[in-house]
Amino acid sequence: MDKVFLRFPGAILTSVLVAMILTMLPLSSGLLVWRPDWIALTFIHWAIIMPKRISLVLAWFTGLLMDVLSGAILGQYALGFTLVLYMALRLSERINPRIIWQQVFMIFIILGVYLLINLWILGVTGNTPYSWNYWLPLFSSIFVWPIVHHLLSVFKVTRKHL
Amino acid sequence: MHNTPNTSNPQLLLQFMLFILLSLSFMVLDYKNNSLASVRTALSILVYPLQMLVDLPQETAYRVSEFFSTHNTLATENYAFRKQLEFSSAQQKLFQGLKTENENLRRQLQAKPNNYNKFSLADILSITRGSFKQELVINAGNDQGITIGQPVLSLGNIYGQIIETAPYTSVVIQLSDPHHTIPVYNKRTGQSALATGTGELNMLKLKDVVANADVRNNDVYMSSGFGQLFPANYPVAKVVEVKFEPDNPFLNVQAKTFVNYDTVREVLLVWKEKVIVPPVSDESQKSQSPSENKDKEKKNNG
Repeated sequence: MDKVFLRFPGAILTSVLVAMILTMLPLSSGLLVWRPDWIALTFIHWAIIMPKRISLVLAWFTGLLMDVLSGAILGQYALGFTLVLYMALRLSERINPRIIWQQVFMIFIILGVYLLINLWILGVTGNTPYSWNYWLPLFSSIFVWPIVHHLLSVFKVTRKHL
Repeated sequence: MHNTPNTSNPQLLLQFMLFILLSLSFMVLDYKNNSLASVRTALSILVYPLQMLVDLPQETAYRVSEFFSTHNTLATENYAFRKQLEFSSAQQKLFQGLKTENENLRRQLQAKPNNYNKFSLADILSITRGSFKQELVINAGNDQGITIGQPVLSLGNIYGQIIETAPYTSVVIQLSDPHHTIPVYNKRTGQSALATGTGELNMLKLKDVVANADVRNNDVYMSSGFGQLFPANYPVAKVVEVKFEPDNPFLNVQAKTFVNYDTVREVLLVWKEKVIVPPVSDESQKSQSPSENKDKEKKNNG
Protein backbone atom coordinates (compact mmCIF):
# COMPACT_ATOMS: atom_id res chain seq x y z
CA MET A 1 0.00 0.00 0.00
CA ASP A 2 1.20 3.51 -0.80
CA LYS A 3 1.77 6.04 1.91
CA VAL A 4 0.82 9.66 1.48
CA PHE A 5 2.79 12.49 3.02
CA LEU A 6 2.42 16.25 3.04
CA ARG A 7 4.88 17.93 0.70
CA PHE A 8 5.81 20.46 3.38
CA PRO A 9 4.55 21.21 6.88
CA GLY A 10 1.60 23.56 6.74
CA ALA A 11 0.56 22.39 3.28
CA ILE A 12 -3.04 21.92 4.39
CA LEU A 13 -3.14 25.42 5.86
CA THR A 14 -1.69 26.87 2.66
CA SER A 15 -4.27 25.13 0.49
CA VAL A 16 -7.08 26.43 2.72
CA LEU A 17 -5.66 29.97 2.54
CA VAL A 18 -5.55 29.75 -1.26
CA ALA A 19 -9.17 28.59 -1.27
CA MET A 20 -10.13 31.53 0.95
CA ILE A 21 -8.44 33.98 -1.40
CA LEU A 22 -10.22 32.43 -4.38
CA THR A 23 -13.51 32.81 -2.52
CA MET A 24 -12.88 36.48 -1.79
CA LEU A 25 -11.66 37.43 -5.26
CA PRO A 26 -13.85 40.15 -6.73
CA LEU A 27 -15.85 38.99 -9.78
CA SER A 28 -18.47 40.59 -11.97
CA SER A 29 -22.01 39.85 -10.87
CA GLY A 30 -22.55 37.52 -13.83
CA LEU A 31 -19.72 35.23 -12.80
CA LEU A 32 -20.29 35.68 -9.09
CA VAL A 33 -23.36 33.44 -8.97
CA TRP A 34 -21.34 30.60 -10.49
CA ARG A 35 -18.47 30.78 -8.00
CA PRO A 36 -17.70 27.23 -6.79
CA ASP A 37 -17.31 26.66 -3.08
CA TRP A 38 -13.52 26.39 -3.13
CA ILE A 39 -13.14 25.98 0.63
CA ALA A 40 -15.64 23.12 0.89
CA LEU A 41 -13.94 21.38 -2.05
CA THR A 42 -10.54 21.77 -0.37
CA PHE A 43 -11.79 20.16 2.83
CA ILE A 44 -13.38 17.29 0.89
CA HIS A 45 -10.10 16.75 -0.95
CA TRP A 46 -8.12 16.45 2.28
CA ALA A 47 -10.76 14.24 3.85
CA ILE A 48 -10.30 11.78 0.98
CA ILE A 49 -6.50 12.01 0.75
CA MET A 50 -5.40 12.36 4.38
CA PRO A 51 -8.29 11.74 6.78
CA LYS A 52 -5.89 11.52 9.72
CA ARG A 53 -4.24 14.88 9.23
CA ILE A 54 -7.21 17.16 8.64
CA SER A 55 -9.07 18.32 11.74
CA LEU A 56 -12.49 19.75 12.47
CA VAL A 57 -10.82 22.56 14.42
CA LEU A 58 -9.37 23.94 11.20
CA ALA A 59 -12.71 23.67 9.38
CA TRP A 60 -14.52 25.43 12.19
CA PHE A 61 -11.99 28.24 12.48
CA THR A 62 -11.84 28.75 8.71
CA GLY A 63 -15.62 29.02 8.75
CA LEU A 64 -15.46 31.63 11.50
CA LEU A 65 -13.00 33.70 9.45
CA MET A 66 -15.26 33.40 6.40
CA ASP A 67 -18.18 34.62 8.52
CA VAL A 68 -16.24 37.77 9.31
CA LEU A 69 -15.00 38.19 5.73
CA SER A 70 -18.42 37.80 4.16
CA GLY A 71 -20.32 39.66 6.86
CA ALA A 72 -22.46 36.61 7.63
CA ILE A 73 -23.85 35.86 11.06
CA LEU A 74 -21.03 34.53 13.25
CA GLY A 75 -21.10 30.73 13.12
CA GLN A 76 -22.89 30.24 9.79
CA TYR A 77 -19.92 29.13 7.71
CA ALA A 78 -18.26 27.66 10.81
CA LEU A 79 -21.18 25.25 11.11
CA GLY A 80 -21.21 24.67 7.34
CA PHE A 81 -17.56 23.73 6.98
CA THR A 82 -17.58 21.60 10.12
CA LEU A 83 -20.51 19.72 8.62
CA VAL A 84 -18.81 19.39 5.23
CA LEU A 85 -15.60 18.00 6.71
CA TYR A 86 -17.39 15.61 9.06
CA MET A 87 -19.59 14.25 6.29
CA ALA A 88 -16.62 13.97 3.97
CA LEU A 89 -14.60 12.05 6.58
CA ARG A 90 -17.47 9.67 7.30
CA LEU A 91 -18.58 9.14 3.71
CA SER A 92 -15.07 8.70 2.31
CA GLU A 93 -14.71 5.59 4.51
CA ARG A 94 -17.66 4.11 2.68
CA ILE A 95 -16.72 4.85 -0.94
CA ASN A 96 -13.79 3.98 -3.12
CA PRO A 97 -11.97 7.28 -3.56
CA ARG A 98 -10.44 6.11 -6.84
CA ILE A 99 -13.74 5.90 -8.66
CA ILE A 100 -14.67 9.34 -9.93
CA TRP A 101 -18.45 8.92 -10.14
CA GLN A 102 -18.59 7.79 -6.52
CA GLN A 103 -16.66 10.89 -5.58
CA VAL A 104 -18.99 13.11 -7.56
CA PHE A 105 -22.02 11.52 -5.94
CA MET A 106 -20.50 12.05 -2.51
CA ILE A 107 -19.77 15.71 -3.23
CA PHE A 108 -23.28 16.23 -4.53
CA ILE A 109 -24.71 14.88 -1.29
CA ILE A 110 -22.30 16.80 0.96
CA LEU A 111 -22.67 20.16 -0.79
CA GLY A 112 -26.41 19.66 -1.12
CA VAL A 113 -26.82 19.16 2.62
CA TYR A 114 -24.42 22.04 3.31
CA LEU A 115 -26.28 24.48 1.05
CA LEU A 116 -29.63 23.35 2.46
CA ILE A 117 -28.53 24.03 6.05
CA ASN A 118 -27.02 27.33 4.92
CA LEU A 119 -30.32 28.25 3.30
CA TRP A 120 -32.12 27.45 6.52
CA ILE A 121 -29.79 29.71 8.53
CA LEU A 122 -30.23 32.50 5.98
CA GLY A 123 -33.99 32.09 6.23
CA VAL A 124 -34.03 32.20 10.03
CA THR A 125 -31.95 35.40 10.05
CA GLY A 126 -34.22 36.99 7.42
CA ASN A 127 -31.83 36.84 4.47
CA THR A 128 -33.71 34.39 2.26
CA PRO A 129 -32.26 34.45 -1.26
CA TYR A 130 -34.99 35.24 -3.76
CA SER A 131 -33.71 33.36 -6.79
CA TRP A 132 -32.69 29.86 -7.74
CA ASN A 133 -29.20 31.24 -8.45
CA TYR A 134 -28.42 30.20 -4.89
CA TRP A 135 -28.01 26.60 -6.06
CA LEU A 136 -25.67 27.31 -9.00
CA PRO A 137 -22.46 26.87 -6.94
CA LEU A 138 -23.52 23.26 -6.30
CA PHE A 139 -23.20 22.47 -10.01
CA SER A 140 -20.15 24.61 -10.68
CA SER A 141 -18.40 22.98 -7.70
CA ILE A 142 -19.04 19.51 -9.09
CA PHE A 143 -17.87 20.68 -12.51
CA VAL A 144 -14.54 21.97 -11.22
CA TRP A 145 -14.01 19.14 -8.73
CA PRO A 146 -11.77 16.94 -10.95
CA ILE A 147 -9.53 19.93 -11.66
CA VAL A 148 -9.35 20.98 -8.01
CA HIS A 149 -8.70 17.40 -6.93
CA HIS A 150 -5.87 17.12 -9.42
CA LEU A 151 -4.31 20.50 -8.64
CA LEU A 152 -4.45 19.98 -4.88
CA SER A 153 -2.32 16.83 -5.18
CA VAL A 154 0.59 19.24 -5.61
CA PHE A 155 0.52 19.50 -1.82
CA LYS A 156 1.14 15.78 -1.21
CA VAL A 157 3.82 13.21 -1.92
CA THR A 158 3.13 9.51 -2.45
CA ARG A 159 5.78 7.00 -1.44
CA LYS A 160 5.72 3.31 -2.14
CA HIS A 161 5.48 1.43 1.12
CA LEU A 162 7.72 -1.59 1.07
CA MET B 1 -14.40 -1.56 2.61
CA HIS B 2 -12.07 -1.46 5.55
CA ASN B 3 -12.57 0.91 8.41
CA THR B 4 -9.51 2.96 9.23
CA PRO B 5 -9.34 2.97 13.01
CA ASN B 6 -8.38 6.63 13.32
CA THR B 7 -11.22 8.19 11.42
CA SER B 8 -14.07 6.16 12.77
CA ASN B 9 -13.20 6.84 16.35
CA PRO B 10 -15.90 8.14 18.67
CA GLN B 11 -13.79 11.22 19.33
CA LEU B 12 -14.57 12.56 15.87
CA LEU B 13 -18.29 12.45 16.56
CA LEU B 14 -17.74 14.13 19.91
CA GLN B 15 -15.64 16.85 18.30
CA PHE B 16 -18.23 17.31 15.59
CA MET B 17 -21.06 17.69 18.08
CA LEU B 18 -19.02 20.13 20.14
CA PHE B 19 -18.29 22.38 17.16
CA ILE B 20 -21.87 22.26 15.92
CA LEU B 21 -23.06 23.29 19.37
CA LEU B 22 -20.45 26.04 19.49
CA SER B 23 -21.51 27.35 16.06
CA LEU B 24 -25.17 27.30 17.00
CA SER B 25 -24.57 29.19 20.25
CA PHE B 26 -22.40 31.71 18.36
CA MET B 27 -25.21 32.27 15.89
CA VAL B 28 -27.81 32.73 18.61
CA LEU B 29 -25.58 35.16 20.53
CA ASP B 30 -24.68 37.09 17.39
CA TYR B 31 -28.28 37.31 16.19
CA LYS B 32 -30.11 38.02 19.46
CA ASN B 33 -27.81 40.62 20.94
CA ASN B 34 -24.56 41.96 19.64
CA SER B 35 -22.52 40.40 22.45
CA LEU B 36 -19.96 38.87 20.08
CA ALA B 37 -18.89 42.21 18.61
CA SER B 38 -15.47 41.95 20.27
CA VAL B 39 -14.90 38.47 18.82
CA ARG B 40 -15.83 39.73 15.38
CA THR B 41 -13.49 42.69 15.76
CA ALA B 42 -10.60 40.46 16.81
CA LEU B 43 -11.19 38.11 13.86
CA SER B 44 -11.51 40.98 11.42
CA ILE B 45 -8.06 42.21 12.46
CA LEU B 46 -6.79 38.68 11.84
CA VAL B 47 -8.17 38.58 8.28
CA TYR B 48 -7.10 42.12 7.39
CA PRO B 49 -3.80 41.01 5.76
CA LEU B 50 -5.77 38.51 3.68
CA GLN B 51 -8.11 41.24 2.48
CA MET B 52 -5.14 43.42 1.57
CA LEU B 53 -3.61 40.49 -0.33
CA VAL B 54 -6.78 39.98 -2.36
CA ASP B 55 -6.93 43.67 -3.14
CA LEU B 56 -3.26 43.78 -4.18
CA PRO B 57 -3.48 42.59 -7.83
CA GLN B 58 -6.34 44.98 -8.57
CA GLU B 59 -4.52 47.82 -6.91
CA THR B 60 -1.30 47.10 -8.84
CA ALA B 61 -3.16 46.73 -12.13
CA TYR B 62 -4.78 50.07 -11.48
CA ARG B 63 -1.45 51.69 -10.64
CA VAL B 64 0.33 50.15 -13.64
CA SER B 65 -2.36 51.15 -16.12
CA GLU B 66 -2.22 54.66 -14.74
CA PHE B 67 1.56 54.70 -15.12
CA PHE B 68 1.47 53.59 -18.73
CA SER B 69 -1.32 55.85 -19.89
CA THR B 70 -0.01 57.67 -22.92
CA HIS B 71 0.95 61.27 -23.19
CA ASN B 72 -1.99 61.95 -25.41
CA THR B 73 -4.59 60.74 -22.97
CA LEU B 74 -2.80 62.61 -20.22
CA ALA B 75 -2.91 65.79 -22.27
CA THR B 76 -6.61 65.49 -23.06
CA GLU B 77 -7.29 64.55 -19.48
CA ASN B 78 -5.26 67.51 -18.32
CA TYR B 79 -7.24 69.80 -20.56
CA ALA B 80 -10.51 68.39 -19.32
CA PHE B 81 -9.37 68.76 -15.74
CA ARG B 82 -8.31 72.34 -16.28
CA LYS B 83 -11.69 73.14 -17.73
CA GLN B 84 -13.34 71.37 -14.85
CA LEU B 85 -11.14 73.28 -12.42
CA GLU B 86 -12.14 76.59 -13.91
CA PHE B 87 -15.75 75.61 -13.79
CA SER B 88 -15.44 74.32 -10.25
CA SER B 89 -13.59 77.35 -8.97
CA ALA B 90 -16.25 79.58 -10.44
CA GLN B 91 -18.85 77.43 -8.78
CA GLN B 92 -16.83 77.46 -5.60
CA LYS B 93 -16.91 81.27 -5.52
CA LEU B 94 -20.63 81.24 -5.98
CA PHE B 95 -20.93 78.62 -3.27
CA GLN B 96 -18.74 80.63 -0.91
CA GLY B 97 -20.97 83.63 -1.39
CA LEU B 98 -24.06 81.56 -0.76
CA LYS B 99 -22.44 80.00 2.28
CA THR B 100 -21.67 83.30 3.96
CA GLU B 101 -25.11 84.56 3.09
CA ASN B 102 -26.65 81.40 4.46
CA GLU B 103 -24.59 81.60 7.63
CA ASN B 104 -25.71 85.15 8.19
CA LEU B 105 -29.31 84.17 7.71
CA ARG B 106 -28.92 81.25 10.08
CA ARG B 107 -27.30 83.41 12.72
CA GLN B 108 -30.21 85.77 12.45
CA LEU B 109 -32.62 82.92 12.89
CA GLN B 110 -30.59 81.52 15.79
CA ALA B 111 -30.51 78.16 14.08
CA LYS B 112 -27.58 75.88 14.61
CA PRO B 113 -25.62 75.34 11.40
CA ASN B 114 -26.13 71.76 10.44
CA ASN B 115 -23.47 70.75 7.97
CA TYR B 116 -21.28 67.89 7.05
CA ASN B 117 -17.93 69.46 6.49
CA LYS B 118 -15.33 66.81 7.04
CA PHE B 119 -14.58 64.45 4.14
CA SER B 120 -12.32 61.47 3.63
CA LEU B 121 -11.80 58.91 0.84
CA ALA B 122 -11.68 55.16 1.42
CA ASP B 123 -10.90 52.21 -0.87
CA ILE B 124 -13.21 49.24 -1.29
CA LEU B 125 -11.56 46.03 -0.12
CA SER B 126 -14.17 43.41 -0.85
CA ILE B 127 -17.78 43.14 -1.91
CA THR B 128 -20.47 40.70 -0.82
CA ARG B 129 -23.24 40.65 -3.38
CA GLY B 130 -26.28 38.46 -3.65
CA SER B 131 -30.00 38.87 -3.90
CA PHE B 132 -30.13 38.92 -0.09
CA LYS B 133 -27.12 41.03 0.77
CA GLN B 134 -25.23 43.90 -0.82
CA GLU B 135 -22.44 44.98 1.44
CA LEU B 136 -18.81 45.89 1.10
CA VAL B 137 -15.73 46.32 3.23
CA ILE B 138 -13.68 49.52 3.08
CA ASN B 139 -10.16 50.15 4.34
CA ALA B 140 -11.04 52.67 7.03
CA GLY B 141 -12.37 51.98 10.50
CA ASN B 142 -12.66 53.14 14.09
CA ASP B 143 -9.12 54.44 13.97
CA GLN B 144 -10.08 56.97 11.33
CA GLY B 145 -13.07 58.05 13.37
CA ILE B 146 -15.72 56.09 11.51
CA THR B 147 -18.90 55.37 13.39
CA ILE B 148 -21.93 53.20 12.74
CA GLY B 149 -24.68 54.99 10.81
CA GLN B 150 -22.29 57.32 9.05
CA PRO B 151 -23.33 58.17 5.47
CA VAL B 152 -21.12 57.12 2.54
CA LEU B 153 -21.10 59.01 -0.78
CA SER B 154 -19.68 58.38 -4.22
CA LEU B 155 -19.16 61.07 -6.87
CA GLY B 156 -21.66 63.39 -5.24
CA ASN B 157 -24.35 60.75 -4.87
CA ILE B 158 -25.41 58.79 -1.82
CA TYR B 159 -23.83 55.34 -1.80
CA GLY B 160 -24.92 53.82 1.52
CA GLN B 161 -24.12 53.84 5.19
CA ILE B 162 -21.73 52.23 7.66
CA ILE B 163 -23.26 49.32 9.57
CA GLU B 164 -20.25 47.83 11.26
CA THR B 165 -16.82 49.06 12.28
CA ALA B 166 -13.50 47.45 13.22
CA PRO B 167 -10.20 49.24 13.95
CA TYR B 168 -9.00 49.29 10.33
CA THR B 169 -12.00 48.23 8.27
CA SER B 170 -15.71 48.86 8.24
CA VAL B 171 -18.74 47.40 6.50
CA VAL B 172 -20.92 49.55 4.24
CA ILE B 173 -24.47 48.61 3.28
CA GLN B 174 -25.49 49.70 -0.23
CA LEU B 175 -28.73 51.48 -1.01
CA SER B 176 -29.77 48.50 -3.12
CA ASP B 177 -29.56 46.04 -0.20
CA PRO B 178 -33.09 44.73 0.49
CA HIS B 179 -32.69 45.60 4.19
CA HIS B 180 -31.87 49.23 3.51
CA THR B 181 -34.30 52.14 3.24
CA ILE B 182 -33.62 55.83 2.70
CA PRO B 183 -36.11 58.70 2.99
CA VAL B 184 -36.34 60.63 -0.29
CA TYR B 185 -38.45 63.23 -2.05
CA ASN B 186 -39.38 63.83 -5.66
CA LYS B 187 -37.39 66.74 -7.03
CA ARG B 188 -40.21 67.78 -9.39
CA THR B 189 -43.22 67.53 -7.09
CA GLY B 190 -41.65 67.57 -3.64
CA GLN B 191 -43.61 64.49 -2.60
CA SER B 192 -41.71 62.31 -0.13
CA ALA B 193 -41.30 58.56 -0.24
CA LEU B 194 -39.11 55.76 1.07
CA ALA B 195 -36.60 54.11 -1.25
CA THR B 196 -35.89 50.49 -0.34
CA GLY B 197 -33.30 48.23 -1.92
CA THR B 198 -34.44 45.38 -4.11
CA GLY B 199 -31.41 43.13 -3.91
CA GLU B 200 -30.96 43.72 -7.61
CA LEU B 201 -27.86 45.77 -8.38
CA ASN B 202 -28.50 49.53 -8.84
CA MET B 203 -32.28 49.13 -8.43
CA LEU B 204 -34.50 50.62 -5.74
CA LYS B 205 -38.20 50.32 -5.04
CA LEU B 206 -40.18 53.34 -3.87
CA LYS B 207 -42.55 52.69 -1.02
CA ASP B 208 -45.48 54.78 0.16
CA VAL B 209 -46.23 56.34 -3.21
CA VAL B 210 -50.03 56.46 -3.35
CA ALA B 211 -51.71 55.25 -6.52
CA ASN B 212 -52.87 58.69 -7.62
CA ALA B 213 -49.50 60.36 -7.01
CA ASP B 214 -47.81 62.28 -9.77
CA VAL B 215 -44.77 60.17 -10.60
CA ARG B 216 -43.33 59.86 -14.09
CA ASN B 217 -40.39 58.14 -15.68
CA ASN B 218 -37.08 60.00 -15.28
CA ASP B 219 -38.29 61.75 -12.14
CA VAL B 220 -35.31 62.34 -9.87
CA TYR B 221 -35.53 61.45 -6.20
CA MET B 222 -33.29 63.33 -3.76
CA SER B 223 -32.47 62.48 -0.16
CA SER B 224 -34.79 64.37 2.16
CA GLY B 225 -32.60 64.23 5.25
CA PHE B 226 -35.50 63.00 7.35
CA GLY B 227 -34.30 60.78 10.13
CA GLN B 228 -31.21 62.98 10.31
CA LEU B 229 -28.94 60.21 9.08
CA PHE B 230 -28.24 61.14 5.49
CA PRO B 231 -27.41 64.65 4.32
CA ALA B 232 -30.37 66.28 2.55
CA ASN B 233 -30.65 67.17 -1.15
CA TYR B 234 -28.27 64.59 -2.59
CA PRO B 235 -29.49 62.76 -5.72
CA VAL B 236 -30.42 59.14 -4.96
CA ALA B 237 -32.27 57.54 -7.86
CA LYS B 238 -34.09 58.12 -11.12
CA VAL B 239 -37.46 56.52 -11.87
CA VAL B 240 -37.32 53.95 -14.64
CA GLU B 241 -40.67 52.25 -14.30
CA VAL B 242 -44.05 53.26 -12.87
CA LYS B 243 -46.64 50.52 -12.71
CA PHE B 244 -50.22 50.87 -11.57
CA GLU B 245 -51.70 47.72 -10.09
CA PRO B 246 -55.51 47.77 -9.71
CA ASP B 247 -55.55 45.94 -6.38
CA ASN B 248 -52.66 47.88 -4.84
CA PRO B 249 -53.30 51.23 -3.10
CA PHE B 250 -49.69 52.17 -3.82
CA LEU B 251 -47.84 52.57 -7.08
CA ASN B 252 -45.13 50.10 -7.98
CA VAL B 253 -42.21 52.42 -8.76
CA GLN B 254 -38.79 51.12 -9.75
CA ALA B 255 -35.86 53.53 -9.70
CA LYS B 256 -32.25 53.25 -10.78
CA THR B 257 -29.57 54.59 -8.43
CA PHE B 258 -27.24 57.33 -9.63
CA VAL B 259 -24.35 55.34 -8.22
CA ASN B 260 -23.26 52.55 -10.53
CA TYR B 261 -22.25 49.98 -7.93
CA ASP B 262 -20.38 47.87 -10.47
CA THR B 263 -17.76 50.50 -11.25
CA VAL B 264 -17.11 52.32 -7.98
CA ARG B 265 -13.72 51.61 -6.39
CA GLU B 266 -13.49 54.48 -3.93
CA VAL B 267 -16.09 55.98 -1.64
CA LEU B 268 -16.33 59.29 0.17
CA LEU B 269 -17.02 59.36 3.89
CA VAL B 270 -18.63 62.42 5.43
CA TRP B 271 -18.77 63.57 9.00
CA LYS B 272 -21.33 65.78 10.58
CA GLU B 273 -18.93 68.11 12.32
CA LYS B 274 -19.87 69.90 15.47
CA VAL B 275 -19.60 73.58 14.65
CA ILE B 276 -18.73 76.03 17.36
CA VAL B 277 -21.56 78.53 17.51
CA PRO B 278 -20.25 82.06 17.68
CA PRO B 279 -21.14 83.99 20.82
CA VAL B 280 -24.45 85.79 20.49
CA SER B 281 -25.89 88.88 22.06
CA ASP B 282 -28.24 88.64 25.03
CA GLU B 283 -31.36 89.64 23.12
CA SER B 284 -31.05 86.92 20.55
CA GLN B 285 -30.31 84.32 23.26
CA LYS B 286 -33.66 85.00 24.86
CA SER B 287 -35.54 84.07 21.75
CA GLN B 288 -35.83 80.29 21.51
CA SER B 289 -34.04 78.62 18.63
CA PRO B 290 -36.97 77.24 16.68
CA SER B 291 -36.20 74.12 14.76
CA GLU B 292 -39.21 74.73 12.54
CA ASN B 293 -37.59 77.85 11.19
CA LYS B 294 -34.53 75.86 10.36
CA ASP B 295 -36.51 73.40 8.31
CA LYS B 296 -38.42 76.13 6.55
CA GLU B 297 -35.23 77.88 5.71
CA LYS B 298 -33.71 74.73 4.34
CA LYS B 299 -36.68 74.26 2.06
CA ASN B 300 -36.50 77.83 0.86
CA ASN B 301 -32.83 77.49 0.10
CA GLY B 302 -33.29 74.19 -1.67
